[in-house]
Amino acid sequence: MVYVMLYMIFFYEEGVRDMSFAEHSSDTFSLSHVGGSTAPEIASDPGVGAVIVIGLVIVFAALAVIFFAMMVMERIFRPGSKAASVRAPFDGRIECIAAKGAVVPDEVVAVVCTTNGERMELLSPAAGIIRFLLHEGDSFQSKDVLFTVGRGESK
Amino acid sequence: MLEAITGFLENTGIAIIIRDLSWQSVLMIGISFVLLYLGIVRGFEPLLLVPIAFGMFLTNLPNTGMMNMEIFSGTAVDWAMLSAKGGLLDYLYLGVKLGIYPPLIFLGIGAMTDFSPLIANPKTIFLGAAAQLGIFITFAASRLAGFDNLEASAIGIIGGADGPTAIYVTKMLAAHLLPAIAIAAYSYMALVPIIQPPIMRALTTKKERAVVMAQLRPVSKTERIIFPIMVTLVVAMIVPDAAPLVGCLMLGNLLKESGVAERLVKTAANELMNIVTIFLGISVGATAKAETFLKRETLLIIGMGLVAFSISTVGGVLFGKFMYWITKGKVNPLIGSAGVSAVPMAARVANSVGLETDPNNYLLMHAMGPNVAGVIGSAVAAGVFLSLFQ
Repeated sequence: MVYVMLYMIFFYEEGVRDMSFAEHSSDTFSLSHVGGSTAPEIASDPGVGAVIVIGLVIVFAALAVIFFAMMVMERIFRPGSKAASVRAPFDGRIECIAAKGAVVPDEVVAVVCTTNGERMELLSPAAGIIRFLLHEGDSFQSKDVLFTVGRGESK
Repeated sequence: MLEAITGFLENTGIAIIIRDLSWQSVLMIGISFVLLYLGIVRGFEPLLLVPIAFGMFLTNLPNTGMMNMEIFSGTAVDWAMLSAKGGLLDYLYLGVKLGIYPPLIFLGIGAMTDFSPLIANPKTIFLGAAAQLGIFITFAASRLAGFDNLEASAIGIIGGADGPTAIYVTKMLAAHLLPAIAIAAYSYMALVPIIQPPIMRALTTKKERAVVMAQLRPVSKTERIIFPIMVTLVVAMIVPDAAPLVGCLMLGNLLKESGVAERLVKTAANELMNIVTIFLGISVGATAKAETFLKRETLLIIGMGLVAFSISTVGGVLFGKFMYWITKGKVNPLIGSAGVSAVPMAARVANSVGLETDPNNYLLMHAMGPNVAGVIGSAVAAGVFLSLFQ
């Protein structure tokens, strides 16, 4: 992948021309034009197959580089578990809001599920639109605080 | 006296319509009403379809003088003609002709986009790449249909399901196809909930659709701030022609994630975005005059656009199945369909098709990863075409 990238960066244009030379006897094309207006002439035509291959390779290569950069970023900047021992107090008000499938209002930072082990689907804009699939005893992190799903008791 | 009355009557709108309105213009006005119906009654992308349709309606009324395409028929704008006879829509169209609107819309999209699902699950970025398959396959199909490289590139980019990108590429490579491509691109984006689900169901098994994916990890603010800078750098190095689009997308996102430019974020995501959307929609719609729109290639473009969009969906879902196989069932292939960049509609569709199989399986956040990756992917694909053919 790195090779492909470097090739694309440094030899991309030459590569395109090489392919066009390989496929066609001339490097100048007069393009047909369905619309009927004057078609521009371009110096080289990479050929349909080459466009598909080059296009997909570049798209995958560009996104692959972003992928690797994200992996490195995750290694360095992933949130730690410094606040893992912090527990949230039970909040009865929030409990009322947290019906199955409910969207929790922005001002609600934490969600505490108090159903008897029933799986609940909660969306919390406070943490982006992060999805929580929670059971009693499960934990989740929001705003650097680890919350634990309780049964209606203060933790 | 009688002459004055006759002269006045001859210049009324009714007289002009009776005298000058052709059946082609009537047909175009009918099409604009259909688009208005789709936008207003059916709710398909109303923010875009309504201004596009109304622009189409306005421009096909005889003698309004609001849009004079001859000003823009050359490679450069005819400034003398613009100042002499330019109408309101001509001035608004400058933003399209000069390539200003699409990057500004990307700025607004960036200010509204949360890349956290992608950062939390980086491998989903490849779904955003795979879902660009339709762009390149349709490029080949368009060449076979007789379009030249420049036109085929503009038609293929419809498969990215990204209106601003389609307009940007078309304006650069085949401006004469702009109305047809813009309308096709936005129509298919609006029809995502109708086009994608049958393809998704056909390509996946019930077992695959029922996969519950693991909860996403939290993403730190530092990651969210570095991400837009890093993406801009990578894209500018590999495909510089995509830099205007990706750069503006990432600037909007950086403003949002930095947390220090709240006023700018609000402006980019609301006022600026809305103003540009109105200008873009109405001026693109106004280019759809009967004499330029009612051609055989318009039908071909609309057909090719559907092919592009469908193949992109197929590419995303098939790569999703590949990831399902590689990860031994940890990735739900449905999220691959969201790799086309219609944000957030495609992610919602992936979510709703998943819910059909398991009412407790919410895929929305997982699908947002490939969805935002698709925006980057289609911009890169656009950059490829621009660097090859511009």
